[in-house]
Amino acid sequence: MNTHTRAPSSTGKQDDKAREILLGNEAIAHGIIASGANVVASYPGTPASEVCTTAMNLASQKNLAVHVEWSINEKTAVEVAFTNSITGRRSAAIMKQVGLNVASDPVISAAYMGVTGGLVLVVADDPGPHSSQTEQDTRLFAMHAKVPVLDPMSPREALEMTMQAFAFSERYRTPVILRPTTRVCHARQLVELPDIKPLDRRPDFRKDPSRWAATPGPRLVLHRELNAKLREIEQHPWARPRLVHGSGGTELAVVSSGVACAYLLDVIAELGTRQDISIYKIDMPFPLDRRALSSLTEKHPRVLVVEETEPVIEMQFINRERVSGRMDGTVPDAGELTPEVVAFVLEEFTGTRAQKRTTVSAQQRRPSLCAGCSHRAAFYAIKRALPGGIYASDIGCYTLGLNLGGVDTCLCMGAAVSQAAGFFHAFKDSPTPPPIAAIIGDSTFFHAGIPPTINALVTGARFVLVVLDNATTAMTGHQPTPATGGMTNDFSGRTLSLEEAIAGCGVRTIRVHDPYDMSGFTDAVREAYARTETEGVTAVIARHPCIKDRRALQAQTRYAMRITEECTGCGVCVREFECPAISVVDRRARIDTSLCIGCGVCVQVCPVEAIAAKEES
Amino acid sequence: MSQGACSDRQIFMVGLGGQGILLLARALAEWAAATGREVISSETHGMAMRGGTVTASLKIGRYAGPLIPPGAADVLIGLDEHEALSHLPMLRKDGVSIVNTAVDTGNFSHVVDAAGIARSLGAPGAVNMIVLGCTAQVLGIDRAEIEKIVKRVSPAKAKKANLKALQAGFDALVP
Repeated sequence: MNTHTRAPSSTGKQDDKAREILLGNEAIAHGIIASGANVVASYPGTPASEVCTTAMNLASQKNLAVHVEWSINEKTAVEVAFTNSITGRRSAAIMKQVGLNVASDPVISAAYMGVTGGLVLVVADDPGPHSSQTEQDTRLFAMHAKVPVLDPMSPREALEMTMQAFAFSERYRTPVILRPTTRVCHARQLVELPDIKPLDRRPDFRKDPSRWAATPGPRLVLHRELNAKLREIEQHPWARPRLVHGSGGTELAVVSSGVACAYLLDVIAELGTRQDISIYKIDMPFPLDRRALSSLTEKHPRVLVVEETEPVIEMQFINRERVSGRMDGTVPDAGELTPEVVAFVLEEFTGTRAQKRTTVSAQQRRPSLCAGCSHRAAFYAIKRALPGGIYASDIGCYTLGLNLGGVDTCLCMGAAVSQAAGFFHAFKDSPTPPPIAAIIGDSTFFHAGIPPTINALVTGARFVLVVLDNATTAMTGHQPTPATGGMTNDFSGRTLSLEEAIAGCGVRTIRVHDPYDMSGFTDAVREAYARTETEGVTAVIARHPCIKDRRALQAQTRYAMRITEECTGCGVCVREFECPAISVVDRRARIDTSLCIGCGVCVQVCPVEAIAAKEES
Repeated sequence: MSQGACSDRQIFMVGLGGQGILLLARALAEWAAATGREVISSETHGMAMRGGTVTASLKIGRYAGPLIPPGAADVLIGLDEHEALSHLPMLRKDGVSIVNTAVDTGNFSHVVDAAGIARSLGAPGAVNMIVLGCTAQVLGIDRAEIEKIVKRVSPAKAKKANLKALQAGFDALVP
């Protein structure tokens, strides 16, 4: 790693290497492709999504013999990639941190088995959280799974670490996790583009059932082997703290990793915080050379650990008497470490008089379903079809249906279906059980909705399954789904429609309706619900393409919208329908024409028919 | 071009999802890199982009991390007036602010009715490029240089409209 200090002030134009401003995720993808990986698999999830997109584009543009796929879920992605890596070839699987939960089963076993070709798992964490359900720390997971984990602080370092991780993985015959955080994934930086060197490696699978099909007995042998590997890895330079600022002979020292280390360096330089401090960076928080780490407390009377999000490095000090961090409350125990938090922590630790601090307490505007989004129409209709119902929902753009009271629960991918079943069993003996709907997106249904649908059907649950089918994985940047096709860089593979998949789960009644036709869609949901009495689980597919798809938007009829004199300012269109293009000002509804896409759906919402639509030519 | 800490600059950008703040940020980053300086920037992705608050930070010069601490931005660019106002504490004392608003409330050093200009150009989505033009004007960015970059980073279909908007923005602040 040669980017451990702050960037030089000049980029040196004489450099003949191609330099480009890359997103951290793009830099990682360049690293994967340049390292000669021939299988790249991922399920989209912010903040990781652009890695696979970029890998796919690189493979297509340069016509490389690389298989890049959007897998159906993270577990499948890891299993496909891991298996390529036990034939001596290089692979990468990419996911967000909660995706690693889905993939935890193969990852933990893969650590025992090891690999013969490099396997890099890119797992993006989201301290904050900005776009996730949890702030979980993949470094802690890596410790649990006994997999080495690298913690880059910038796009440039992420690229270098990715390239080196493949050789590292092969040297120690272990999967390696690269753990960027949101601020690395979605930072842009000038980076030197690596040369793409295709690896000419034939697949070589040596049958060894005691490893690749190990039963519990041989697993004990593999566990001991894994522990020995980890002890060897502790001797690697990455496992030792690296001095990146100061003399190393100061009273105070800060140990840090990831982007928090970058903030420390900036804070020390920019805010004029005390200079007589030594900063150590940890490239690989696990496994650590714990003796080298702990020896810092012999050199420095006081040591502060600044890391995101759990005290992974901090807890590995053998003696924590002289160590401050998250465990003693010096560092906040939740939330992102922004430059201002790092500055505050540093001031507290050094006892420097706090400078006058500026804070921004801006009320962040809440996100909302786009104006014209068909999900809004679907939620409105479901509320009308199943009044007083419980709406179990899921992860995606449509979670924003909570703004209009259409989403009561959102646990994790696929849980809409199992939670609907759970609510059914909870209420089935009540005198008046509420109607129950599972509302899930198309991509989410394929990801984790199929097993719980089968489960509900064969265990006697009764609810209506509504699949919101906008023909894309919209929230994460419009990746394909099994129903749209295009899951790989070479467009191989068949498609599977939602109807086929749902019918395959055993569901008999499957209605397909466009939610833009709200009364027709409401009827479809009502009828499907009535049939749950005899059929258990019935389904309605709400089919309308995402209006962010330019071609789809151009293909649909566009209306010029107008509020008529009839408007009473009752606010139903805002409260119940929540279209961001509509507001009520001075007891009268108003349509913001810069946001309105002219879908015309709101006409069906107004109780006094005060919204008029005229078809545009 | 002279280098060193004196040319270091932190630019904070704010707007709403869908206003095109990321393209604006990207164009400025490309410009800075073309002048031979180091660049690191940060963007909002994901759910917030559905009409929520979107911010971007651009740090030009010797910086390691991508975020700007409050009170440290040299320049604040606002595509939405309310968001700009609530993020005004990001700006350092004597910092420059360039904000899209129809009414000058005196809160910002430079204002431009970018939405109005965009409508008159028949390109209501080009507010970002008009504000970029203003920014280029205020920061003394070479006109030909920023045009070249906008041409490069714009999606093919939006290239013409973006250039027109950029030029309109460039001229909007001329006294």
